[in-house]
Amino acid sequence: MSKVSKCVFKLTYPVTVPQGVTFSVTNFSESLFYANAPIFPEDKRGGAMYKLGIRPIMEKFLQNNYLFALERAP
Amino acid sequence: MIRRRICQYKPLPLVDATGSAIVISPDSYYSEVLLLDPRNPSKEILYLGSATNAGYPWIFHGSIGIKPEYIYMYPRFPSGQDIPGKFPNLDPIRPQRGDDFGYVNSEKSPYECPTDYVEYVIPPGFKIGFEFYNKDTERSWQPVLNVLFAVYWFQILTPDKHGKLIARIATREVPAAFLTVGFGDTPISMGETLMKDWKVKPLSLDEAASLGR
Repeated sequence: MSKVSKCVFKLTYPVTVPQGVTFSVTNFSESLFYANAPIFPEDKRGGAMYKLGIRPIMEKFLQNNYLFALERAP
Repeated sequence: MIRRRICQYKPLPLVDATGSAIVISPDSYYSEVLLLDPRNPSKEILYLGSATNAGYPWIFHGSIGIKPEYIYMYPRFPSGQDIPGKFPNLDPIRPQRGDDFGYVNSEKSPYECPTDYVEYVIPPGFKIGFEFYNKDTERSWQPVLNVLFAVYWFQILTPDKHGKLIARIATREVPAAFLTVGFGDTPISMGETLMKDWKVKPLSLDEAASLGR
């Protein structure tokens, strides 16, 4: 994911401000940035992370299989 | 497993023992902290203070999602011990320098979807610590976490009563999840206190597989 610390938007139409005015957003909201970012980038199924064997932890919570073993220390 | 409950703390902005926000300067390190409740920082979130609850042994199992992307998190389990994820032949991981291995970040465990990239199994009495590094060279950031865990209450299988079932689990004839306390290369001993409280004696896989014959 590329770094975003500053964005400049140019408004052209429809606006009531003089043509060519630009607005500089210097305090870019982290929450806004993440709201627009992919949640699990391309990895839901068949993506790079998933193919590596990394799973959402919710899939690992014991649901249908109620047996588990705790590995013993050597 | 007898019962299961999902526990989620989201968002969890990182705070110190006084409840103050932990904001990490650009290209800087923050030393080991426990995950504390911002409402009452004397309380640690990932801690089970008693060996049993409601008459059953219990454990935590889960993961942690991270944001923003610039934050590298280095878990230590138990607190103060080694960091997992080291290439076997390399020198120890140095969170103080922001080493580029042994960390978890938002790519490996996204805030909105914590993954099993590092999967935590935490028995009663164990504490887990975290160190952080801000890789952003221009801005300070406060780590924000999505702590997503399940608490399992369970019945312990004993060789005298459940020998055949234990053997079939050990030989994978009966499907069961194998959970590791600690990390893959260094499973952690449950310790004498927990063995006594849970009334258990851990077996090796070979010992378990030979039961019921």
